[in-house]
Amino acid sequence: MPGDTTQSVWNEKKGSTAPSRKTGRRSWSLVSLYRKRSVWVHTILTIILGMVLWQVAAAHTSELVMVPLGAIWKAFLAAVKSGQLGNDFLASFQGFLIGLVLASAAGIVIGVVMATSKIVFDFVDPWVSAMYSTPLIALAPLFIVVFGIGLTAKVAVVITLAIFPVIINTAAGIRTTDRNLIECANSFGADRLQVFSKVLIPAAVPFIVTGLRLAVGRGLIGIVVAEFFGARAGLGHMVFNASQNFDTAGVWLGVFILAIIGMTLIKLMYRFERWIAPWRDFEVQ
Amino acid sequence: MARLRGPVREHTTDASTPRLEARSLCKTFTKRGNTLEALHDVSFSVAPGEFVALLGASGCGKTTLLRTVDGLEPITSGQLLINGEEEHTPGPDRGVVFQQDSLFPWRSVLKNVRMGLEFQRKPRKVASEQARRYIELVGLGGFEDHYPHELSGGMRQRANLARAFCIQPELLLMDEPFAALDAQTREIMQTELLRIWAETAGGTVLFVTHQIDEATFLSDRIVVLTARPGRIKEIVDVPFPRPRDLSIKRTPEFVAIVDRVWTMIEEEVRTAMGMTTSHDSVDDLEHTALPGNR
Ligand SMILES: Nc1ncnc2c1ncn2[C@@H]1O[C@H](COP(=O)(O)OP(=O)(O)OP(=O)(O)O)[C@@H](O)[C@H]1O
Ligand SMILES: [Mg+2]
Repeated sequence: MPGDTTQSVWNEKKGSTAPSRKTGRRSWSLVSLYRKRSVWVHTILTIILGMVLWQVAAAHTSELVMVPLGAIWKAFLAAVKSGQLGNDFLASFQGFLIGLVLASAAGIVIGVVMATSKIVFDFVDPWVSAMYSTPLIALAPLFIVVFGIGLTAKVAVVITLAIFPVIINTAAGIRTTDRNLIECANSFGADRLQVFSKVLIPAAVPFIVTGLRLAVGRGLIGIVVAEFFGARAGLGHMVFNASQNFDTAGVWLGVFILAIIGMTLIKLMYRFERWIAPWRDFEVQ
Repeated sequence: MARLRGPVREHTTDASTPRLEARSLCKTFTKRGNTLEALHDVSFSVAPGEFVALLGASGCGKTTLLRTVDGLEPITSGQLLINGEEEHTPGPDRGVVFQQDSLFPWRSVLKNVRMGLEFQRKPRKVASEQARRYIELVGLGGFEDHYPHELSGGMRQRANLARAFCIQPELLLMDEPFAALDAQTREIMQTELLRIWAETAGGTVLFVTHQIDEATFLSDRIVVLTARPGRIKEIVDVPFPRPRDLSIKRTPEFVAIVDRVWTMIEEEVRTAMGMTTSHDSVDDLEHTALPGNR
């Protein structure tokens, strides 16, 4: 029975003990329902657990550090009602999106050029690697000095943070293309352009998407920090303002919203990776 | 079944010109000052429409020879003539089935098979149509939209065959295409190959293998190479009429040829494995090395 085999493979992956044949057949429907939906069950349980722990911790710490979830919820409703939250969200999102798009486009182009020219690679790679591992976020105040308070500075910070993983992954993807495939294309009469567009680029796509996923995470940090140092609106601005006013609920509200945005984006990027490279057997993250 | 093609490219050369001719071909690899002679003074020719097997111990230079014929590897000295002309680059007149898995993982079966036509900038519709015919021919009908990782090893090799056949090459180069398959699948693929070859009005085939019975079953002639550096040890005629089916493998004539080639190659395998010919080791070797070849 084909269903049997998939079930048992699934079992091994999750490391749960396989039920013996007899009992497995008996309690089939309940067990299989739990198995199918177990991710959801576990997710909901862990969220509830987290909320309980939060409330306990909040009850035992200063109001200046943690506040009960109810207070954060109230702050949320107030911010939505006043329209402030929507404004801040849009302001951040705009800077983030422009920065990310520019960083992706430029990063891919630079990565491709690096990977296809050895001289360019030798000259550029040390700098790219150095800048990737440096916490460039420290430069954010300088960007404000150069570009002034506003969108340009935010975009510049996002680009600075987001571009390097894209460059590095694009170049790596192209450079690690299976030599056998390149040779196979050559053997079937591909010219240089065809090898590039039909072998190197497709082979690099999964790497590029991984680079983009990293860029999303770093870009989010970039936008928030840029807004800390100088902005008239934005989620980072909101968190900063709240902390200046000892509005702990406001700070946590901003952090929670950022966390949810970050998680959603990363999840979407994983989806995107799987959609764009269905031939790759993705392990569950 | 309707023939899928007649002669493809017209050549001014007459029928007596061999499709492939190697004259004193030598190939030496140089790496960091070390030289390694892979092929030494190899001369042989393959007539149009002929199926020639290239047989030799592991590491004797079979793949290297095939790669030089395809134009992926330059030769060091000697001559390599294709239709009487020296060729140094890969061309659409030669199709290859590689030893290692070389389907493009991001392309479906259909897109893999039509790849060669795509590189020749044939219209997509024409290319797809032709690819479909060859997919059908190798028995993969219905799997056009599957990705290579969704196929079994045998199916992948069929797709590889279809891809090579699809460019309708005059010269088909195959490098141990069935080596990774289990024994039963391999036998089936051997008959399948002969069937496809016959139905496509056969190009010329150069087929690398280290399986003596595979070479005997498939080919018109077997070129036996020595251990490295590969030289021609002997060229054996295989006179069985076509079409052939697996039952000929049990005829005394077949067994006689396999035996003859085996004694020829035994010494070479020994050399390749760094053994000397001594009487004690004969029995050992016969039971351990190359099982299934006798
Ligand atoms: N690119 C290369 N650079 C250096 N040496 C090489 C290269 N390719 C092959 N060789 C050497 O040439 C010799 C012949 O290799 P080849 O791959 O042609 O053997 P083969 O007969 O196909 O073996 P097998 O049956 O195991 O596939 C080997 O000793 C190998 O190490
Ligand atoms: Mg080989």
